[in-house]
Amino acid sequence: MTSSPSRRRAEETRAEGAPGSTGLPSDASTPPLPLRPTAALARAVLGGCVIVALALLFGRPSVMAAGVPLLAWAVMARARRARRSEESVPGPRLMTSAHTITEDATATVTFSSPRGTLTSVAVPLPPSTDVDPLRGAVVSEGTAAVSMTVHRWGRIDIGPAHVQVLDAYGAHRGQRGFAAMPLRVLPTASVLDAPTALPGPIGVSGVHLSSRRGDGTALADVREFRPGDRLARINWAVTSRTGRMHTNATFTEQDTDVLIVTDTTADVHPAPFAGPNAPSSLDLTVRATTAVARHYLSLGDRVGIHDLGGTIRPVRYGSGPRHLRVILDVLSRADRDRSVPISQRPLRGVRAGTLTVVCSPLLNDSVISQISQMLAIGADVIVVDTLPPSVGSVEHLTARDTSRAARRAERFWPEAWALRRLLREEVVQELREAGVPITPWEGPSSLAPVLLSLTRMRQAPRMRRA
Amino acid sequence: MTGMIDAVAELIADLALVSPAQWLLRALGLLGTLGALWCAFPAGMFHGLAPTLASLLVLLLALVMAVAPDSDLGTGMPIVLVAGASLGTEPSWGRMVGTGLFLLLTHMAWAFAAVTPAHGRVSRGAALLMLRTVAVAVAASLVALGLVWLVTRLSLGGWAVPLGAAALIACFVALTPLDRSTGSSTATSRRP
Repeated sequence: MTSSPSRRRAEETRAEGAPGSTGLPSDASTPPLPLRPTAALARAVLGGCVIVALALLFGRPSVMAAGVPLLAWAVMARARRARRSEESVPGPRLMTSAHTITEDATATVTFSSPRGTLTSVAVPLPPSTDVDPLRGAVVSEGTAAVSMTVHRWGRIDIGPAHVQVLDAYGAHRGQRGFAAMPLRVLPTASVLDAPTALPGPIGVSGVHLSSRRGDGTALADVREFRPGDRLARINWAVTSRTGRMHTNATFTEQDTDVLIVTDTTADVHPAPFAGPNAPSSLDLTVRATTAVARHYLSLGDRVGIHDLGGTIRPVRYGSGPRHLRVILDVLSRADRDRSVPISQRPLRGVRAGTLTVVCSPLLNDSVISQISQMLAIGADVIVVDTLPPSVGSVEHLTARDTSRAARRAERFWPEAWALRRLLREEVVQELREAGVPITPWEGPSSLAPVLLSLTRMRQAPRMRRA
Repeated sequence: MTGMIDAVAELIADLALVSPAQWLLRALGLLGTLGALWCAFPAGMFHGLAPTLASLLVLLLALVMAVAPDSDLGTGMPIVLVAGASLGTEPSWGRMVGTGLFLLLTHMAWAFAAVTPAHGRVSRGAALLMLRTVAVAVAASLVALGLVWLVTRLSLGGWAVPLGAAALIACFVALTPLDRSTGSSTATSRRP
């Protein structure tokens, strides 16, 4: 099978150490598969014998020549079956290259049969997936493989697959169905292009330098020794040069709690003109959450997740690479097609100084009130706008052919969303006035300016309240 | 009018999904049928009543097979063709050998078309295996035709007729499939 350059780039990447990934291909052995004669064999035998019988009956030997090739084909097919003992062949074996992959990575499903037989495979096409071969169906000698490049996180079912094993004449075949296999697709954990400084670190240890002096490793000053200073910190070079005891003063190092609040109360789908693989609000939320969590976990901070919609399981504060795997696992298990009514979860784990990143399309009033509540507690709140850019786009409104669109059921869809986006602008403006930076999720560089401005705002002199 | 255009457009869109291998196999089946008709009726397919009726019936059955290659109706096609060809004077050996080989080509094309997915790709390995099988089948047919021709050159007595009939019955019994495979032969896949 040929592969395109983009596919080669995304070559079968197994999510390293992803939870649930065994690191081994799955191998489902099946019982022997009996090969039964096809209609073609029946046609050849019946047609050939009748023609030869007609020739004998009417005494026209030359007519036999028209039936003999069909009989010869049937004899060869039967002889091959007897010679190779192909009454039944070892059942086709199903192997998958991975149970867990990341977005835009490729998993291959392979069906193996004995050499010298034809293996025909048909796999239904999962949504948001590129399949090679194009229609998910292929005929190969012995082993047939279908590759799938998945563009959306979540759980997809590969199959149910229909496999036929045929002899080389197409005269005998066996068929078997394989139940659908789950494939977990983890959201891509893109590296966030954001500063490492935090607006308000609240911990007593960590990688962020505080403005306070205390125990740490980063040199702040060399000053005269005072009673109570650690002897290990005495700077002997300066002491010997000046003749008076000097010691190194250091900045303390701090970490913080980063709470990612996800709003899954509604999954807003992209506009119909946005393309087949355009992300929905839930996709943007999950991708932004993944990137933010990866960024702060790599800095050594504690990251937790609270979902306001109940689609994503809550994750307690934790740190380290293992916690990132836990978060990816939880995000990939989010139920995209949930039908249970939404019950909003009360906000927990927020305290003054907590960096709170809210990923929301900002369409739900209760989410806005939750943001106000966080502000009241004293948390540093950043809102990542996850409303798909195509939703409510005015550009499409003016460019489209209204006469043709008017015939369709969704003729007022763009107008309705454009109005909704205008209404939402009021909320966005109010939040900005309340000091909440809002940035649309446009990839890994979305948060950098917001975090920088928050840090500068914290460090700037401020007026004491009366 | 709009509904009809939509239906036609949908049909064309469905046909566009059919793989090139399937088009090739089904076209080979139709071309083989035309070749067999050409060999069986050298004066022309529509020259006389019997050839005309036989040709029309054969073409109709060939069209049915091109649409549904796993159909049992295809059994009647070679029988009708040969019956139509042998109604007049005894056809020559050359004509009948040509007819037989074209019928074999048609038969193999439809056999492969019936068992491969309509929208599926045929890999290079599978295509080579099919071509090897075709070559073996044609070679075996030529050997069998040579043997039959030699046997018909011998002047045997009347005892040979019941012997030949018994051999034919034995051949039929030995080759007849008793446990036929059923089910979807042209498995397809569509985007949900």
